[in-house]
Amino acid sequence: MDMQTTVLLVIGVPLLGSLLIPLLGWFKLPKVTGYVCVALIGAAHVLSWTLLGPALGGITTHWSKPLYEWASFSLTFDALAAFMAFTASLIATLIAIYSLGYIEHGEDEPEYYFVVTLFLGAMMGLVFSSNLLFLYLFWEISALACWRLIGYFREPDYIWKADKAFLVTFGGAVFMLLGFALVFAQYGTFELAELRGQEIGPVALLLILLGVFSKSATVPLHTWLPDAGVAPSTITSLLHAAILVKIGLYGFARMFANGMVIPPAWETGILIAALVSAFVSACAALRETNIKRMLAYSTVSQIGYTFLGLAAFTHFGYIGALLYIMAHGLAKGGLFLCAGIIEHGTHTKDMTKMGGLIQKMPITAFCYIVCALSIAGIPPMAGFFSKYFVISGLVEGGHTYIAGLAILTAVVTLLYMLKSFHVIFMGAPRGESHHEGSPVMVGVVAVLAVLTVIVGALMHLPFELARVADGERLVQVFTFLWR
Amino acid sequence: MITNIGLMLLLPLAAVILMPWVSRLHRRAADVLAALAGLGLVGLCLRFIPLRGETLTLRVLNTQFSVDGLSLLFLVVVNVVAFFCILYSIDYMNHYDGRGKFYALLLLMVLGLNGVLLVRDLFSLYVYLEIVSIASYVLVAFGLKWDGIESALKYLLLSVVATGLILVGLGIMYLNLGTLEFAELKLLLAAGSGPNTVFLLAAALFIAGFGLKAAIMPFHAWLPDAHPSAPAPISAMLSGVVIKVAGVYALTRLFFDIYPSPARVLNVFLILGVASMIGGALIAYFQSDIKRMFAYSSISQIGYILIGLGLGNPLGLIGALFHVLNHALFKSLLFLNSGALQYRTHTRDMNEMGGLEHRMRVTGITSIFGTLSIAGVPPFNGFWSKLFIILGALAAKQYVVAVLAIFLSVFTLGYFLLMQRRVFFGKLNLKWQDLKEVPLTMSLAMIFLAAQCLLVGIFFNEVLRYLVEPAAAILLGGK
Repeated sequence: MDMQTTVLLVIGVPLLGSLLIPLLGWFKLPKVTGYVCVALIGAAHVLSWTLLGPALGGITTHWSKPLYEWASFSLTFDALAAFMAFTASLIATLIAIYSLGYIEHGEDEPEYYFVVTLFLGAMMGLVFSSNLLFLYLFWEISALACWRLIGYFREPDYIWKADKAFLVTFGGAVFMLLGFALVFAQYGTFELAELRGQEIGPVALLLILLGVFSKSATVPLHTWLPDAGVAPSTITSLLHAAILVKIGLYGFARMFANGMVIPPAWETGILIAALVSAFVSACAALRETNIKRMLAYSTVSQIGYTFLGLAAFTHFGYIGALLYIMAHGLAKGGLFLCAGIIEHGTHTKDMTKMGGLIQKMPITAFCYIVCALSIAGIPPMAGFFSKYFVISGLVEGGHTYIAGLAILTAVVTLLYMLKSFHVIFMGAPRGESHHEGSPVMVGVVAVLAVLTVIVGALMHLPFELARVADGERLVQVFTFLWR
Repeated sequence: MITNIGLMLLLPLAAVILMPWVSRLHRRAADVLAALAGLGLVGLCLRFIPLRGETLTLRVLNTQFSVDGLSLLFLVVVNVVAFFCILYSIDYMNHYDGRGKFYALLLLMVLGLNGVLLVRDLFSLYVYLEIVSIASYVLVAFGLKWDGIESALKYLLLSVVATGLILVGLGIMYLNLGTLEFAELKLLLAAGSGPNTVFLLAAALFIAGFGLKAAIMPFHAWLPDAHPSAPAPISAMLSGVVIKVAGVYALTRLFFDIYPSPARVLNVFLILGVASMIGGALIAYFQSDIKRMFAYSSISQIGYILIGLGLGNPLGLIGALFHVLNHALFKSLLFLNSGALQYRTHTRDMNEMGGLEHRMRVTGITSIFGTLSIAGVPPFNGFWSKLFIILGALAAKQYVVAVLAIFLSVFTLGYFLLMQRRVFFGKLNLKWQDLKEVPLTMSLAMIFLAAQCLLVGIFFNEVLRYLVEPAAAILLGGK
């Protein structure tokens, strides 16, 4: 199979395959839909393995199919795309497997699996797109998928929150589209390859950042993300770890780290915005008692951290940010799935009503603390390395004060993570009916926890890939200058 | 091929004449005749597509009928939407008496619309426009309920004002220029500098007259009454097609093809467009009657089309014409959805509905297609036309208009999500426990329209190439 076919399959299998699932629902086979979903997402993941080799070899390829004067469907394969496709589909596969044990059989089951598969398909499309219009197109497909998924339980209040998430992300994204249109008005193209090295105006930058920050839930556009915790835990996990909030980060990396140039005066501004977001939401997480909201604020904080790495525009910062996407995805995915098990077992999300769960849920407790420590950046977990590289990237870029404040944020992170572990799992047990989750669910959580440690131990592998992705940046900037 | 032009008028006319006899043969005979006529018209107008904007002319008794790119785009819109409305009516009209009369009037309306698009002089255009209007008045009141009759009367009175204004405009043109034929007008207006003032005087009357027909913001008062009280397929025709042909087509033909308008006329379009876009959306937000909400949102979407026209550059014009096609598809879909809801629940009040997606899957899912299309969410069709309009606004340096257009599309999504939340998405209102999906032909019509919303969005480039660009080329002819 040549590369183009593989890339098209990675996108097409989940995106078009998802259409199979409503058909199965139509033919009264709702119970099969879960397995089909796992098979489709898993197939995309297995295909993404074959992309890793060429990516590590530093191969970059670009295909383009002109549709209209200025709208062409372009795909780019490079290490950044391969890294993201691999990470997202890995976590999504695990979450889909967990769903088999988590989602109850019912009328809405086919819809759930359909939208989850579509969601991943949109993510894969976004990852390989290098035309701003199609980037936006896949961006919005993911927004509408998350609208249906957040409202999955159909409570009036939940639906309102789903609408809010859709409106905020859609609103941000259409303003981003206006930013793209301004870029188009200036340079006459939507192709990222042609925009490489071009400096965009401050208005266009601000509009694009509005889209990026609303999607990636950065303060002050973050409020929809904690509210999205009303979704099934699998979905919150998917939103936080694998797909949704990573879209903003990936979009930023694709557009700016490896493409258009930000006016230099604005770089520090983005760093400060990211730092404020990271710190404020870490403090919010410290105060929160609802487990899923606490984890959501933690995500906002970690996203801010990743932006710090990306916006430092240094080698270590960029590598650190990519590793962060992977490490945070694994750990936060695990934490939300733990929260799902806890919620199933205790029928509450309020941490103050929990306690002593370690006795009934030992495996969950163990996985929780492993993932929590990874988020907090404790070695040898994967989270340590990514955090380290981000901070050294900041120092490399001469932002010493910001690096110092970032470390302070890391301390707050450790504080709330340990606090939550203490409140949930330690102390005297309360209530009788608590029980460990089903084997599938606990198994998936354990896999995520083990992966968190393994990735930490074998850090040189993802590091190598991120380094190649970073190298690409240099090579292409160089070729541009040379031309 | 040229005889096809005549058939576009004769086929519906024949069906109208045969309808009273045929409908006596069998209960379903009228359905079959109407559906065949509708299908035949779609087939006829699709045969014109390979022309790609070439002009074909048929001359009968000194009256000229011709198809060019601009007419073709509108012809396709009219006949495709009309066919799906007829398909939908087959089951929907079970609620009403006199289906033979209904189809006869509907086909008369289609005949009038096709006539408006085919004729090549202003007076014939006016005559066909009246045919459309007369059919519409009766159809709005077809349910013989009080609100229908009242709004039909309101529609009639305001339309009379509109046609009066148009007629005076025609008089002024004829008095000063001595002709009403498009081709001759074009030459005369292009030749001298003198007639320009005449044209501008007539232009004011035409903008008010056709603006009333198109329900542009200060002239919109009749639409929110007339569109909701009509039977659903008629609402779909009125909102999806009639306001565009009677208003937008006539305005584009006059102000772009016949006389490439100066900037001050275009600015009028732009201002009216922005007012309609904002005003329609704001009022729509507060409606609890689902069809009234859709009616106000039509005003808002017509605003987008006018903005595209008012920008006057290729991107804006392509966007406006593409939006004509897209709005016809998704708005008729949405009106058919509302008809399906009314067919089962016998109410138009959204507060009484709730969670209906669990009982009416087809209606629920197709309404999501409509919602996403109208809000301009990719990959649905509304996205591309709004994108063109926004790119056009930036190219014309109308930054405020671009920002407003973007903001309003978020707002549009907002009130349509509100509709989704009240009607479909959520817990089932126990009152509707035993509700069932609507009958087959209604479902089919909705499914086909929803599929078109998605397919036009995905294959936007082909649609642009074969339908929209030839039409835009006519509008840009003078530049």
